[in-house]
Amino acid sequence: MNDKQNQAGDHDVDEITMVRALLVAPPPPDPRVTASARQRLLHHAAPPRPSRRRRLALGLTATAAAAGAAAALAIALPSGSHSGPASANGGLITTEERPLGTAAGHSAHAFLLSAATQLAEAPVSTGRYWCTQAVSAQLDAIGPGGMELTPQGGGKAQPASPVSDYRYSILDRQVSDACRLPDLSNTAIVGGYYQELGAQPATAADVAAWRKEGSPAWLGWYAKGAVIPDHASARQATSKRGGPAGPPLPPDPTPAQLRAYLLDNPVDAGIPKDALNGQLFSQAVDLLQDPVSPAVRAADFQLIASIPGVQMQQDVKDPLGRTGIALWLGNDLIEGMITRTIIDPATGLVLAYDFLTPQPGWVYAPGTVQEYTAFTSTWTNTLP
Amino acid sequence: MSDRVSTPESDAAVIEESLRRPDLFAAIFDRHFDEIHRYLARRVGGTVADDLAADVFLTAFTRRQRYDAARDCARPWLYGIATNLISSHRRQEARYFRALSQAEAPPEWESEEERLADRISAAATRPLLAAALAKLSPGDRDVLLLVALADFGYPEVAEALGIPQGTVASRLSRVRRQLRAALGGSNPAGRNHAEQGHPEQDHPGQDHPGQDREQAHE
Repeated sequence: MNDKQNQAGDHDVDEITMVRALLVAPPPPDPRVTASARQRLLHHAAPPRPSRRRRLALGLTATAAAAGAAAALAIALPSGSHSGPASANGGLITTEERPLGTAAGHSAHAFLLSAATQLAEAPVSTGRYWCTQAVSAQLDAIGPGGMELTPQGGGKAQPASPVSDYRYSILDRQVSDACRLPDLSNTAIVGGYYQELGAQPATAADVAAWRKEGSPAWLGWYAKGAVIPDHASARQATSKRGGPAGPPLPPDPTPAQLRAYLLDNPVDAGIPKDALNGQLFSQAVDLLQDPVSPAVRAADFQLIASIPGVQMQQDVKDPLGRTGIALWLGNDLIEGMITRTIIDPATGLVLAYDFLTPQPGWVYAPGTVQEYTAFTSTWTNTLP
Repeated sequence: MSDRVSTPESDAAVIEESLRRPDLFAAIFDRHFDEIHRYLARRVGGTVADDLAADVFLTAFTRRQRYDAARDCARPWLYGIATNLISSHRRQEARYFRALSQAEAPPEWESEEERLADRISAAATRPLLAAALAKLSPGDRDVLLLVALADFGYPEVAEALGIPQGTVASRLSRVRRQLRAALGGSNPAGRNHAEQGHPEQDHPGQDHPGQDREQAHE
């Protein structure tokens, strides 16, 4: 069609150039106009409150201060009592205190290697889509007037709120699903959704405390004072184009090959040398979320067992009640919380991440699960 | 902690990430606000543009789930939103064009293309051109002004307006002939030539041309 040659700029002084000259470019907007428009946007952009997702890169440079504090963890699932002192019975769990890599013959080290051996024999399964459903929740401490307290370690430069301001807790929940193709080099999300489930007082006692305060709406500290919605939002379909594919993963790697591969393909460039173990650990754990073969999972288990500073607990219940092993780096504090990865040793799949209060002095007792994301990963032939 | 967001990521990556971290959407604002404001100011004048430009980014923010992640650059998307918002301000646009048609020189500011503007003014085409712009159908004018003011080619215009590239081409061709005719050009008779065999596929969201003409004349 002859119109093709009429693209802008082909002629000297044609109609389009004349239109440009007629509608002359104005001066840039007054800085106050820009500032006011930006403020309007940010006011809208603040809710829904962002979930504090696992951001390992942030945790890599965190202090090792809490390494010792991890010694006695107590789990209180958010549906249970969370604000009292940790229960001495049932809630207490045993912590592996010694780093795996420096404790040859250690039971946890042996456990991982043994699990790796069994995984290597597991049958390979596949399907059209690898879908991971994620259910996440955060326990938020609320103070007077419904305002969320500034959490411990939450704001880099911001001090935590005084514990005496604490009134009650709300539990804010989300669900999402994301499907990708079996091809590991294709990181695109081809189908899925995201849904805010809304926030509610966490327990019956929290409901009572909330009513006593006059049932205020909840205002998120994280979201600069925006209201945290109490009801579910509509499901939003999500998709994501694949990023640039890195070199392919070796098909049947040894732990050393896997280590070299992960270090050569860092998720986050510019990680300081002293944080390389943290980088390696987070990449090794994240790899278990991908649709990789049992052989790769087995090598990955062996690799994790070799990383100094990795700690492990057995027989841990994840937020959905499934039993697995919990792994974390002793010094891996993310936004002021200990971040554990709960793994099913039989399948090599990540069951959940959870975030625990590391030390006394905050609203929640040490070991309280303040936040979690639980995963259910499966092969399917249909998109959600 | 600065609330200025800066990141080397593509617009698509930022928008994707902003689904979880809504405040990151400020980076899209920082990258494109001035340009979108300029486009709006050239179509409806600076005062209306101040409000509309802010609305563009609020609208974009609320629709960001539907952003096509395959589009690295958000410019066509933002221009499309801006263009749609103008459709609810046709009167202001018409009034602005009318003001231009009566003004001897740009009403309130210095021009980057002053020399050419002077030449057009001297040639007395300014009033004719402004009046002709006001008479164009909204769909045609949107195509013309995205090409002229955003420097878009057919693919970007098609993306911004959600119409096929062929429609962009046929609209632009018709607009050129109409403007040429209005300015006393040589080819007024060719008005319906290109449409034969290439019927216009109007986007469902577009206004009807007749309706706009009435508004533009009031």
